[in-house]
Formats: sequence, C-alpha cells, structure tokens
Amino acid sequence: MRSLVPKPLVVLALAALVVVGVAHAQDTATVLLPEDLSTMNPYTTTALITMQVVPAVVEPLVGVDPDGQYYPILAREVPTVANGGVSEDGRTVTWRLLDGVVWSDGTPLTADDVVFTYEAATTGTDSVRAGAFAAIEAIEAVDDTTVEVRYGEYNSSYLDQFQWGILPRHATGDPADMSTWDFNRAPIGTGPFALAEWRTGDRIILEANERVREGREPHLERVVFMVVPSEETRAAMMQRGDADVMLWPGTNLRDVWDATDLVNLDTAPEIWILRMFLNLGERGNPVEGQAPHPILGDVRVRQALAYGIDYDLLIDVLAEGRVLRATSPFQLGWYACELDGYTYDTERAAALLDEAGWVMGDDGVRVAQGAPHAPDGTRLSVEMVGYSDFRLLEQTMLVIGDLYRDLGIATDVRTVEMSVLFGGWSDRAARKTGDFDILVYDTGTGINPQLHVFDLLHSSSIPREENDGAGGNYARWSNARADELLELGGTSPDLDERRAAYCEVAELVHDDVPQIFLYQFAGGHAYASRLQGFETSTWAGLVWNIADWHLE
Amino acid sequence: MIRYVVRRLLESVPLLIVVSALVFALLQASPGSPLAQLERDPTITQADLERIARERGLLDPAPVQYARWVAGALRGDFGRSMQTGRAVTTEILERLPNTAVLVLTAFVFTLLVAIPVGVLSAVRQYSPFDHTVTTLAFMGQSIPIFWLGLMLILVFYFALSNPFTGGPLFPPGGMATTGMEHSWTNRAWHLVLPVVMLSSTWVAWYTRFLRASMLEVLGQDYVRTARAKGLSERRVVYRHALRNAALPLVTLIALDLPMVFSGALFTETIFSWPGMGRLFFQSALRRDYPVLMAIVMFTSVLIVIANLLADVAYAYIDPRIRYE
Repeated sequence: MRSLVPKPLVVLALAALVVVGVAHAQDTATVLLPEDLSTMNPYTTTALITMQVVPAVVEPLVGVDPDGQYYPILAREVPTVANGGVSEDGRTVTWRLLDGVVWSDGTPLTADDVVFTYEAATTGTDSVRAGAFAAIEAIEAVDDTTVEVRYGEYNSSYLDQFQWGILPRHATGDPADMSTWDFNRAPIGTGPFALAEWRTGDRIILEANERVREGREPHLERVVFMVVPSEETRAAMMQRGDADVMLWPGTNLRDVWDATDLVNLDTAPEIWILRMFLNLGERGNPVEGQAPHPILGDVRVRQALAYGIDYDLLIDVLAEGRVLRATSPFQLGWYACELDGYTYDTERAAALLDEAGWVMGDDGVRVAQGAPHAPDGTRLSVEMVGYSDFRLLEQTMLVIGDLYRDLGIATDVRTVEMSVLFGGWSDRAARKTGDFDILVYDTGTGINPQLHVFDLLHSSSIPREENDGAGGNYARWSNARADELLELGGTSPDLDERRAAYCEVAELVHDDVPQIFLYQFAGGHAYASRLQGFETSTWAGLVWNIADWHLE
Repeated sequence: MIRYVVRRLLESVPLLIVVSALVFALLQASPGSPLAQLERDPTITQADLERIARERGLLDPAPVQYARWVAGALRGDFGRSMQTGRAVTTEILERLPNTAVLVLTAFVFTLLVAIPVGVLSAVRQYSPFDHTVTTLAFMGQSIPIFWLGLMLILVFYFALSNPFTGGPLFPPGGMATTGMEHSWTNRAWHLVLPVVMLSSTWVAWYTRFLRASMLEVLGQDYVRTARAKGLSERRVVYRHALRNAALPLVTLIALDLPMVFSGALFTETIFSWPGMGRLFFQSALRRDYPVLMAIVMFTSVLIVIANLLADVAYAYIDPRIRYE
C-alpha cells in the first residue's frame, strides 16, 4: 500500500526534530511575566510590573529588606541622626555615595547624578513622582560622593524619595524631554545586570554587568524575562522545567505546584489588611461634632463586635490558611507592633451588649433598653458593605454576618462596585459622607506608614463639610492622645521613637475599636527548585536580590 | 479599469473621515481614562495627575483633541503612545511583521488545505471522505479556538516529548528560542502550533463554503456541456467548475485579509506572539487613545483596499464582469 505522506516529508520532519532541540543552560534563568513593561524609566510609570525588572539595572540609594529594614545600596550607609546623616532638627539629610561605582557604560557615578534624579523627577515631562519630591527645598552635590538635601521641616519620607533609582545625567537627556528619552528603552544603570536586548511584547534580556562594583557581581550570566500572557501557558512552562520564575501566580495554581517537585511557591505578607470600618458618627451627617451613631457610637458595642468574630475560622477555614492574622495597622517592617488583638469570645460579646443596654428580643434580635445613644425599642441591626467581584471578601462578610446573628445582631450584608465604594467627596460617595454602618475592605501602608495612618486615624482627616471631604478617617474616630502620637510620628527623626508612638496608637485603636482588623493578605512567586537564592519580599520587586540567584 | 480604481479610492476618503470621527467620539464617550492606572498608585499626588493630563492634552475639549489628531494624521504623525511615550508608528511597525508572518502563513495553509479538500468533498458528495470532512469541519467551526490552543499546548508541548532530544515536541509559544532568532528551522518550529490554531476555524469555514459553491456549480449546464465535449473530469472540475465556484471565496478572503494587520488576539495571547492583536487589546485596556485610533484607521484603510482588490479580482476571474 502506498503511504499517504511522501517519504521526503517524513525525513524532513525527523531532521527538524533533531535540529531544534534546546539544552538547559546553567548560566541563564528565565522569568515569566504576564505583560510587557511600557517603559524602563521608573519616573514615568507607576505600573508595578516595572519594578519587577528595572531594579536589576537601575539602583536606588537605599532599599528595604524582607524584614522591613532599610539597607544601603548606592549609599555608604542609611543616613540617621545617630550616624550624622540626618541633622538634629531633621531638616538636613546628607547622603554619602559608595566610592568607585561606575555606570555600565564606564562613566563614574557621582553626586551630580543624584541631583539630576531630583531635577528629572520634579521637572521632567510625564513625571509621576514630582509630588514625592515636593518637600525638598534644596539639593546640592557637596563633592563627588556627597549630596546634601534640605527640607523646610523634618520629612519622614526622606529615605523613600530615592527608592525608584538613580538616573545618569550623561546617558539620559533634558528633563523636558523625559517622556521620549532613549533611556526609557535602553537604560544605563549601576546594577548587577545590564540590558542586552528588549524585544517589545516578547522578551527582555539582561546580561551580567561587567563593570559592576565588587561584592555586587551576579552568579548568573543572563536573565531572560519572557512575556507570556496566558497563565495556563506560564504554568505549563514552569511544570515542564522550561522557566525558573513565574511572577504572581494565581492562588488557583496552588494544587499544580503541590503536585510537582520542580516548582516551589515562595510567599510573603502583603501590605493589604482586610478590616472593618465602624462608623462612630451619625449616618450621612458629615459635619464637625455630629451626634454619635445610635448603635456603633458606644464602645461596648464595638468591642462586642470585635469579640464576636471567629478569626481562626476566617483564616484557617475560609481562606485556607493563605492569609495572616492582623491585629493593628502596624503589622510589618521596622514599625511592627506586638499586639494580641481580640479573640473569639461569644460570652464576653453577649455580656458587653447586655451591659450596653441591648437586650435579646423575642425574634432573636436584640433591642435597645437603656442604650446610651438609641431610643428604647430600637432593633440592633447593622448594614455591612464591601466591594464586589472579590469572593473571599464576600464570603468573609457572610460568615461574620452569621456569627453576629447568633449574638442577636441583625446584619445585612451587601456589596457594591469598587468604583462606587471608593468614590470621591464630589460624588457624595457613602464612604466620604459617612452614610454607612460598617465598611469592609483592604488597605495598607508601605514601609513609611506616616502619611497612610495619619490619613486613616487623625481627627483632622475626618472627611466633612468643613474640609471639603479631605481625608480617609472614615470611622470618624477622634482621639486627642492618638492625634498627638500621630503628629509625633511625622516629626520625629528617630525611628525607635516613632515606632513607640505608632504602637501606642495601635493600643488606643484596639481599645476604642474604630476599626476591626480581620486578616492580612500574602502573595508571592513560583520558582523552580533548581533556582537557589530566590526570596519574595513584601517591600521590593521580584529582582531585589537577583545578584544572589544561581542555578543548581 | 484604472479610472474605476481611482474613483473607488476617492470615494473612500469621506468614508474614512466619518470612521475616524465616529471612533474618536466612541473612545471619548467610553468610561475610563488613560490615567486610571496612575490614580491607583497611593504615592502619586493630585497635582502630578493634573500636570500629566495637561501635558498630554487630555484637558482640552474633545473637538480640539480631534482636530489635533487629524492635523497630525494628515502629516503621517499619529502621535505618541500614552503608555510608552514612543511614536505610535514605531509601536505598530515593530509588531506588524510578527503578525504578518503568523496570519499570512495561516492563510496560505488554509487555502492549501481548504481548496483541494472542499473540491474533493463536493465531487465525492456523501462519500466516506465527504462525511469525515463534514464532521471535522463542524468541529472546527464549533470548538472555541482558545480552548483548542490550550489543548495543543497540553498535548504537543506538555505531554509529548521529542524522542531525539527529550525536549518538548513543540514550543509553548514565542517566535524563536532566545539566541536562535536567525534560524529558519527554529522559527518554523515555533510557527506550527499557532498556525494550526489560527487556521482551524478558517479551514473549516472555507472547506464548507467551497463545497457548497462547488455543488451548485457542478449542476450547471455549462459543466454538463464541458463533460459532453469529452473533456477530462479533472479539466471539468478545476478549469470550468472551480473557477466559477471560487468567485464567492474571493469575497471571503477579502473580508479576512485585514487580519494581517489587525492581528489574531486569541492566538497571539495563548502562544505569546508579540503581534498587533495584543497591542490593540493592551491599548484598549489602558485607554491608549493614539494607538487605538491609529490601528482602527489603518485597519479601515485595509478593509477598503481589500474590498477593492476583491472587486478587481472578480473581473479577472470572471470575464463577464466589467467595471466602467
């Protein structure tokens, strides 16, 4: 019988099979990205994906390690009051650069490049970081390796301002043309790797920077970042051993990693803490000194709500242990506070509600009988609102609603679209005008918590008519001692003193319960077992320790 | 003929102007902003956002923005991408060859398979061959192509290994292995699965289409006349019947051809192919108006040209058709 396929074709196909085999290289690691970068200039984009690649090439003065501690990268040391880097009044910061650092094109790094970075960030077209540098009054290169930065008043963000990387004056251009610099496509940096090739939408190839300073040399010769938009394809490549790192795998892939020895998952806490905001003021009346909320205005009720939640059930059962317990806004980093938080205690919750004048009614819902802010006969009924399209959040609210019903608290659980929940003052969003009982959503703070917690907890940050709705103190919590401590956190140049202040705020929040902390999210990356030295960090992008990566 | 072509081209100018205005208006009216991604970053200040919106001309009234776009487009300047800051034409020219290679290969493959199979299927109507082809064609039309793509990867990348090297039989995507971009065999190897995925639906449609139109033609008088003249069956089928049956096919090809420019989103996404489809999709997600406008306009121009080509091809294939 005659074959259907001509013989020469069969021979050709077999030959092709032999030719195209690919060998595993020991000196090249492959990283899978879900999307391409739009630019490599960290001053013209806020996209998270940029900071997963660029820090391997463009380095900042200081970084933050996985424990939340600052460590020097291009600076000789982290400037503090103790080592003279920060003046006593906190208004002058002196940066001293490492000696002998050169850019990957051979030009030496100088203090003038730091000054240039400031100029580009503040005056460059398309700069998204001008606001972050606004507090700087003057910046001056004192000599080749010393930069002096002066602020009008002490600025708690002084360490964070240069976290996006230092730009080379000689290899960029006029800040007025920043959006079209060649640098954006072909950056010159001081990092362990240098850009070899960037094929848009396809891959980014980094090669070891031959001019990198001593002690910063990478183990790998080459790192290839492949853009693979399909998550299924990325997972298959990891399982097949064709890739070494997968950025941000979905939690639905956990079973896949469990089934193979080739791939590990490395997670770290994320900054996002899921919390309940309890409205302390009268609903929908955003004026100073408004009446207290009839139910939530009483601290005993708020404490009962905190005791009424089975945190272990939420964390271990509902979230399958993929989240961490949170007890205060200060969970991580140098400012982390040890605080036990509330435990699930229905007896205590019931006793507190009884004491607050809410007695059990015939239909299983408590009614007011001598409650301080509610007329007798008021039903103990609250509305709980979260945002939609987030299953875990929705399930969490439903579970809490069930637990509350057992305590005699009628709970109405609802979700609204994110763009509605997080609307602005001009939209008259319920969050801004205080037209809610309980809001449930996640928010968190970076390594410098000051701006975030001040916005969340200081009495001046309560949105109301008087301040045109500015601020994020949606619980409308007002505590004179907390205000004092939060102000201290913004003016003290001493990290230990600031931490003590924050932890006292955490205690006050715990006792007065404007917020109930449910849990903290965790996330990370999948990496091949043959890749050593890989570590996910809460505070930095994927490549923060790329020089330490090596292949077995 | 030349007069006809020129007239058709001139007629399309007002059409393209209307298209550009409509698309611009739709983009303006749709919710979302090119700066939305920036607004989500807690470290960016309101002052920064306003300055960037002003720098990019987003605060100007829509008619002013449109006039600026038209003025630029007439000079061949389609502006800069809001995401990358690069010229839109650079962005497009970078992706265009990738998409062209993929779509054209799939197109040629489709015609090479669909024409003989469709003809044979009609000539041997209700034969086992015809039944098999019909079944496969229905499957090809109804299988969601992203599912097919995933299955191709699962089978030919994940499950099956190359018996000689132990590596996968086919790559899971990309255009070439890093460092082997100049190897034709390597590139061809990377093309196989995406081309199969992209052509599966086309082959199915074209085969069915050609079968139907062949069946119609084979019953015509002139085919009987040709047979009566004593012409060989081969000559009857390919010279007399196919030439007439292919006429509607030309329309189909003309309608699909602009994909060479607009790209194939699903195939490009699943096989990590850096083509036009993904560029368009990414730009739509990020409301990158200049890129969106340019792609839509180029595609419109191509549709106009492809339709014109189809009409010209009619005249070539069917001498009865004449244009004044």
